[in-house]
Formats: sequence, structure tokens, C-alpha cells
Amino acid sequence: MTVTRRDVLWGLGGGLAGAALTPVPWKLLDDTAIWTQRRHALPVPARGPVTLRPAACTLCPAGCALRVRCVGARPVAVVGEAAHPLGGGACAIGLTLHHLAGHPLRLAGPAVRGGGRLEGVALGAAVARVAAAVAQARTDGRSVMVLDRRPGRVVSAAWGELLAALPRGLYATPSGEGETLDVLQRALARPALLGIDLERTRTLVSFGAPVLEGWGRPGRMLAVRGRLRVVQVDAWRSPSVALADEWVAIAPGGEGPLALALASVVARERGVSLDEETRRVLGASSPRDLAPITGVRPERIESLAGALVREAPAVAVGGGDAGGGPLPADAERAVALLNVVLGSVGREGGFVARRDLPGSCVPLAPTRLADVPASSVGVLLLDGSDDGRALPWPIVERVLAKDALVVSLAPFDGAQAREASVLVPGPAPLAAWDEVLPTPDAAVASYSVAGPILKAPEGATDPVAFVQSLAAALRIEVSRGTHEERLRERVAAVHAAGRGRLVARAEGGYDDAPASDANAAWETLVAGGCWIDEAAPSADLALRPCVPTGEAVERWRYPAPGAEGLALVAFAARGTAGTTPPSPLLTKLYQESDLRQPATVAAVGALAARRLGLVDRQPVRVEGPRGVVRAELRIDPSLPPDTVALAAGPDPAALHPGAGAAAQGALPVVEAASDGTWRGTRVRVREARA
Amino acid sequence: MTRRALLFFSAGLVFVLALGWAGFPRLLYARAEQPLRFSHKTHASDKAGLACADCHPLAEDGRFAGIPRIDNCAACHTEPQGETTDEKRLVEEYVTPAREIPWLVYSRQPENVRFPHAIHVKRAKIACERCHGAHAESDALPLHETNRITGYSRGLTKMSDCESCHAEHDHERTACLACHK
Repeated sequence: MTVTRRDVLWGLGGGLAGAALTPVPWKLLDDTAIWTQRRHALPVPARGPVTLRPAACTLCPAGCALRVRCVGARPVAVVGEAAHPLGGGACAIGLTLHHLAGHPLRLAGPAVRGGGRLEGVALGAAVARVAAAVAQARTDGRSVMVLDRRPGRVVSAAWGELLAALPRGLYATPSGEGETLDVLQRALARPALLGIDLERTRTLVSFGAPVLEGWGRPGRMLAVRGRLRVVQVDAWRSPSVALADEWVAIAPGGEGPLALALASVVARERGVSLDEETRRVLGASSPRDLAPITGVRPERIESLAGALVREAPAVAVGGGDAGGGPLPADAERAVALLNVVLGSVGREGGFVARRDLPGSCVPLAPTRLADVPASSVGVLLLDGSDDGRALPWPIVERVLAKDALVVSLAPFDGAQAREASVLVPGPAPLAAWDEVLPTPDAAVASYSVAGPILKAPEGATDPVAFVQSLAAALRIEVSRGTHEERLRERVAAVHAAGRGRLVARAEGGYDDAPASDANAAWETLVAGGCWIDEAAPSADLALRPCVPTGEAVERWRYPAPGAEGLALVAFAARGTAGTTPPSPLLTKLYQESDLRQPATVAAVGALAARRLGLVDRQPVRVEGPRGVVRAELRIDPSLPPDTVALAAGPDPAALHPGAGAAAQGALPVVEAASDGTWRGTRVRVREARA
Repeated sequence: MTRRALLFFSAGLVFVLALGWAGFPRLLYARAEQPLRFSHKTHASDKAGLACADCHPLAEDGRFAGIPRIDNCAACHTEPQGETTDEKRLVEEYVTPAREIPWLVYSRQPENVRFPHAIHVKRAKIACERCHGAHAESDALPLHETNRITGYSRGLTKMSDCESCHAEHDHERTACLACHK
């Protein structure tokens, strides 16, 4: 048979039809799809022995105990220690701690910034530049200031030692969560440290503090929550409001007046004996007098005050949100006064005396950043530690002299570090020695130590080593011990105090583990243990008068006629607005879903949107006194009509590094008040035109 | 279509069908033998009396042990338990020098996928056979086949298998990141 061309074509046709009935084309299509992957860019998980290593989260003062799962030398997962005696668990930010060493904003080594660009330099050159600026500041009669966000560590002591040798050394801290405690401590007739006996508190009134979201040690709050009634006073439906037993919705800035009005009712109901000044202030602060500025009806204030008296012991806290910042000083004094008239100071379930940590190393009393004179600082050294709270640059900038040198020791080129001319990055979290001190609200002192799990890159400089290098360049004598050696000395001091108990990690929890000597105590702490102090003996907690200024009371009674624009409600989850950028892989909270309002969204109430002629999801410009940001508008029916809620973090540039994100969120638009707060900012929201 | 045309069309069709179904898999998959002959049947028999979890346990924290390490084998095989060549090799080449057996794993998932055994076995109470087949009855390990294009094992559980099982158990709405890293 002769095979013709036509036969071949029929055969090929049959073959083609047959091929469609085989797995060949379909399987090849499926399998070759893998070539579309950028295989070189796929992370390859490490293989090796799996170990669980103890650590502590140092992104905020809570210092939650962690267990880090390592494959070989690489940390691959982080979990909170659920059974930790000080309160277990960790937040979503802490669970991504192991990502941060590889964060795109991580700095590899010392650098100087010029013309908006970073240029790598040797450590010696960076130190020499800082030393020259310090010498110049001495000549010019300006201060050299260290801004420490987690005071009380051995690093703080190293700074203190250096600053003590300088003629105008200034050791400053920003306002934090413990503002109410600070006000009460300053009012004590005899100095003492205070904590909150939260385990026996029945009612907690929070004036804007995110007590159910990220405040104090969240694990402690979770442990006591079942028997604690929480009243959340907030201008917007914050995450703590959503979880609280009662929400008292106030007008922005109404915290102080509401606390004062409550105090006047409580004082009357309890028949509290008052000094002349307090009686005068409370006499002018009835619910009817202050209701207009609080936005709360007088009857509601009366009934809330009655509930606080009935459901004692009750504690009121201010301190503010991590993005909204501290309450004004007068508002904090009003909150403190409410505690005084509630009889919450010096009683079980209220504010109790706490002993200081043995071996406490604060050689200089910290100065509040708000108390530093304007334009007085010639060299600002930003310590690399983080409290997870926002600190708008204008608050810091106010104290800087013209041509002041700003030096950052943060491991990342974010937040305030962007304003620094010299950057000497410290090791990233999990790559350095660190310590966990008691949170401001803690009823007893505690202490733990976290050792490095990751190897720090060559260019990272331990802050203690930097202080020593700078001291050497300035010919100042400071202690020689390394960071680890200083921590060992501190543990030895804790052990030598002979009080409290040491607990060690054990199968399924923690057990008491008395240490025979300081070395044994060190080993226990490094292995994930913790030292917990015993309760302080009862102390004399007599208080001097603690009231808001007469000027503030007048302002609250007779508020100025309506200001223009909308009141800015800035907010942030703790850990998202500090110096450490959150992991770009924290996608579920911010990038992929609306679980949290990102800094790219401005929320207003439905009435405000209608008045402004804006619709949901419309691009808008938020114009503040100092700057303008773009955002997407969202309508939130829970917001009062004249407010706009804007997150202060996380910085979109940290979540989308390299995407060239413009400045967004609340921080670029806030207006800093002279007392270091930014709650009074008013902004305009307008349609954004392309 | 003429008879002649039908003949050539059919010949082409049959040839390609045979090539596609019989020849293509041989071309696509690289076959390799396991380093040792292993009988699940013998180990799971009444005589040995082992359950799956005796050699493939789930740890307290939910981690799955996967393929047993040589220590597990050494618990019973410090001396040969028979007279086969493989048994002798097991003891001499692996147990005595405490060297791990380089088993070729049929079910190793791609790096971007995780499969938590604990949730499926303990919470959903799915039997091992549901995904791994009747391994306990096999007398020898099958050849290990590696896809030359993807590099994955042919015995790998496919995403479609996961999806159909999740649909059966009313878990269709499982999020992407539940399985994909």
C-alpha cells in the first residue's frame, strides 16, 4: 500500500485528536505552570533540628515571654508563653518578631544621611562625628540629650553615666502609659512607687487608655478580665470599647472634664473630707457644669459615678492611646483626683505601693520630654529601644536648637530615625541582650532577661558598646562591662536582695526555682525564667492636693465657641506606631483585610460626610496645621459628627517598603501642644483631586 | 471520510493514545527504588502488632514525626529479625553505624505548603488510610516517582484532593493561608 500525503495528514489528525484524549497536553500545561514562579525568590525553609528557645518581646514595655521555634539556627515561629505567671500570650505584632531582622528598613551598619540619601560609614567615623557635635554643644552651652523610651534598663544606666559627666547632659523620656500613676506618685507626701492591684479591682474606668487591647501586660488583663468590670471612656468605637462592659462616648477632649465631673459626684456621695483647693475645684465642676464639653448627659455622669462608688474598689486610668498620645496634664490630674476621691489610693484593689527593682540603675532622674526647654538641645541621641507608642516629630523638634545633630541607634530607618543625620543601628529584636522590667501598672516588681537568638550583623552596634566608644572619644571614664556583664551584675543584685521568688520554665508551666547563687539565678533567667517580687509592706500613701489648674477648669466650664474643621482622633495599636516598623508580612491585619483601620484610611461619621459632600471610599486630603496627607474616606456611623479618626500607624512605608509610599496617617498632620500632647489637633477633610 | 482515511485517522489516534497513556508517564516521571525493601504488612501484622502511630507519632505539641528515624528501627532491629538481605543491610549499614536511611518521601509537600497532621488526625479524626491509602497492607514499597518538570513526588496529595475532602467535611471556606505559607 502506498502511503500518500493525504494518509499522513489523516494519521496526524487522528494523532492530534488522540493527544487531546491523553494527559499529555493537560498535564504539561499544569506542570509547566511552575516555570511561571520566580523560583529563585521563593524562600526555602531551613531544615535541621527543631528547638524551642526562650525569648521576650521588646517591642513595648509589656515584655511578653515568648518561645521561639528554631529550625537549625533560624527562628521560624514565635508563640507566647501561655502559662507565664505575669500573664501569658503575645499580640499579633509580637508573633512576627522573628521577621524583623530581615525587614527591608533594617539598617546594615552605621550611616550618615546627606541630601536625603544614606551613606555607609565606619563606626569610628560615626562616633567621631557625634563626639565633635557633643564638643560643639558644650562650647555653645547647649544640652546633649538622650531620649530613652524604655528607661530603667542597664543601657539607660550606661547613658546616665555618660550624661552625668557632661555639663548639660539631659536624660529624657516621652510620656507613656503610666501617666496617672506618675501624677499620683508626684502627689505623694512621701515618695513611693505605685502600682495597680488589678487582681482585686472590681471596676476599671479607662479614659482613652487601650486597656483591653494593648496596655500594661495584656496577659495580666486577660487573666483578671473575668471578674473585672471595664468602663471605657472614648470618643470613638476603639477596640477596647468593643470589648468593654460599658462605653461612655465622649466628645474629643472630654476625658479630663468627665473625670472631674465624676470626681465631684463621687466626693459628694462618699462624703469625702477635702482640702480647700480641691473643694473649690470640685464645687465648680458639677456634671451640669461640665456636661456640654464632655458630650455626656449630666444624668449619665451621676449614674456612672454612683456605680463607681457601689462597685468599689474602682480604679481610673488615663495615659492615652499609643497613637493618640498622652492626655493633657490637667486631664491626667482630673483622673488622679477621681482616684483620690474614690479612695483608691493605698487600698486593696486600688493603687498600692510597689518596691523598686533591686539594682535599679537610673543614675539621673528622667526629665519628661515636655519639660525640656525649647531649642536647648545641641545633640539628640535617640536610644534604639521602643515603647510601641507614637511620638510625632514636632514634639521632639521643639527642643532642638538650630543645626542640632540627631543621632539614632534604632535598628531601622523608620519613625524618628528618618530625621537623624547619623545612624548607628543596634541589633534587631532577638539579636541582642535585653531585659524586661515591670510595666508601670504592675503591683509588684519583676525582672527577666532575654538572650540573643539571632546573630547580629557585623555592622550592628550594641548600645552599651556605642556609649563606651563615644565616652572614649570624649575622654570620659565609664564602666567597661559589656551589655551581658552588666545584666549579670544586675541579676546578682536582684539575687543578693534576698526577696521575691524565682520561677523557671518547667513542663507545662512554671515552677518555683530558688537559686543557690547569682550564677544559678542568671541561668534560670536566661532559660526563660522570671523573678517576681513579693508585695510591699503597707506604706503611708498620704497625698498632697492634686487638682487640675483653675485655668483648665474655667476652659472646661466655658468652652470657646466651635472651632473650625474636624477634631482629629489619632489612634494606633501599641507596637505599630513606635520606632520598630511592623513586619510587612503582617498582612492579615492591615493589607489584606479591614480587621484594623490602616493609616491610609480616614473615617468620619455619616453626618460629617454628608456635610462635607463626601462619599464612602472616596480619596480625600486631610489638611492639618503642619501638613497634608491623602487617605481613603470611610464612613463610620459610630463617630461623633465633628471628628475624623485617623490611625497614627503602622507607617505604610514600613508595610510596603520600596513602594514609594507617601507620608500618611495622623502623625504628619498633628499639631503639638506645649505640654507634649497632640489631642487638640483640628483638621479639614476635602475631596482629593487627581 | 473514506475507509482508508478512517484507517489512518484511527491508527494515528490509537498510536498517540498509547503513547500518551503508557509512554508519557514513563518519560515524565523519574523512577527510583527505595534504599531498602520495607514491608508495612509485616510490621502492622498481628505478630509485630504495630499501629501507624507507633512509628509515625504525633508529638505533644502537635508536630508530626514523619518518617521514623533510625533510633525507632533500632529499638527492635539491633539484631537482624530474619534472614533477608535487606534485613541484614538494615542492621549492618544503618542501625549499627546509627546512620539515617535515605528514604525517598512520597508525600513531601512543596515548601510553600504546610499540612498539619495534628488537626486532621486528632481533631477531624481522619484515618491515615484516607490520604495514604492501604499502606499497612503493602508488602513492599512502591517505586518513588519524581516529576521531572516540577520536582514533586507523584504520590503527593494534590490541592484538588484537599479541596474535595474539605468540601465533604463542610470546610470549603478554608482560607488560603491555612495551608499556603
